[in-house]
Amino acid sequence: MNRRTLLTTIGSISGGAAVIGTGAFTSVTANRDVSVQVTGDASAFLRIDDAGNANSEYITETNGEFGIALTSDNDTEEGGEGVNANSTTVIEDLFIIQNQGTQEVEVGVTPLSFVDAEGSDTLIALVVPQSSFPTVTLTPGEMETYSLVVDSSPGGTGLEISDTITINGEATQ
Amino acid sequence: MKRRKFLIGAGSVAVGSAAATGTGAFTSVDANRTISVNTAADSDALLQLTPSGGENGAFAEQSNGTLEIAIDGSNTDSDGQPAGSGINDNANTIIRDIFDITSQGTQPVFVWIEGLGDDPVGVFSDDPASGDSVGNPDTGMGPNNPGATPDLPPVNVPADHRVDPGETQGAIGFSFDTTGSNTVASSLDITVVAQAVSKYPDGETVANN
Repeated sequence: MNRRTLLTTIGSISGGAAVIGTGAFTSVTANRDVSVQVTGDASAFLRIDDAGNANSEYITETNGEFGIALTSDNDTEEGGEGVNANSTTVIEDLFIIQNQGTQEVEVGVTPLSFVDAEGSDTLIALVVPQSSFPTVTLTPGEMETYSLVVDSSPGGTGLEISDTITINGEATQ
Repeated sequence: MKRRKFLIGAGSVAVGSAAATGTGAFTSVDANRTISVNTAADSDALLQLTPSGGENGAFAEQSNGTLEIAIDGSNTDSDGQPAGSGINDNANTIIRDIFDITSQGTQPVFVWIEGLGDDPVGVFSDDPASGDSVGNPDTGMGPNNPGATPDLPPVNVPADHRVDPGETQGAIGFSFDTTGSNTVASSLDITVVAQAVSKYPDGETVANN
């Protein structure tokens, strides 16, 4: 193989003909700065946070990670250890998701419903977005507020939902 | 593969990945978080319902985690009281101070009772949590309140029934009117409602304490 053929071959394999083919230089190594910081949910590009009201007691933050807990492990300041059996509990404006990025994103929370059942007793939790269902489109800076409806019927004090809620933000373009 | 063809191929991959990796701060975020909710007995729940510490607390007891009021002689205290097994017919009966409602939530709520239906049964509190109506001891909490302040919650939730976190609306009792042809159902499924209210019916904002 002669040299010309070799260069052509390299060029077509790499597809980097513009870099390698001109002969001006064979390689360039340039160091640039890329800085990435991992931050808590409350200050991330996709902000997941309490709604800044009294209901923030129901929100937990573990190593910067957002969580919702209406449990004895996260009892209220006044000692409330969970929702009443045989009751409907509404927690309006429980948490928010805010787009702190640079482009429009579609935000979805899945699932929006959680169930635990034991015999004839059921415990149902519903996450209710305020402005759009099931997903919401947020421009940079915009936020969506979510409420929680919990229904326990007819009774039973041993019911428990312990689940994963997935928050997804996807650029619309 | 010819060079032209290869570049076209590489080009389309690049376009695809440009859209995927994006130019913005983020193109997609997928975060798994936790949600946990449990039920608690009325004695420990966000809305705490407990038998009163008074003598008439014997009419109430926790049953399978929920408060049950039995005015039929089935609930008795350690002394076997009450010995009677029901209210008199053709009489007005008032039983004060049976149970308490305590807010263990995070914000002020207004509490009232629903579900009394059309029966001649009243429900009231002798212990307004807010202390706003000291001169008005029989504070009605439901739609039928013989001898009590008339109110039809939530249309007119009186300020007396405001319960801040940790506070108690205590001494809640019932009245029964079995005079004449009045009858009272043997079983009533009453609903205790506690609701955060930002404005009074007249539009006045509820101030934080």
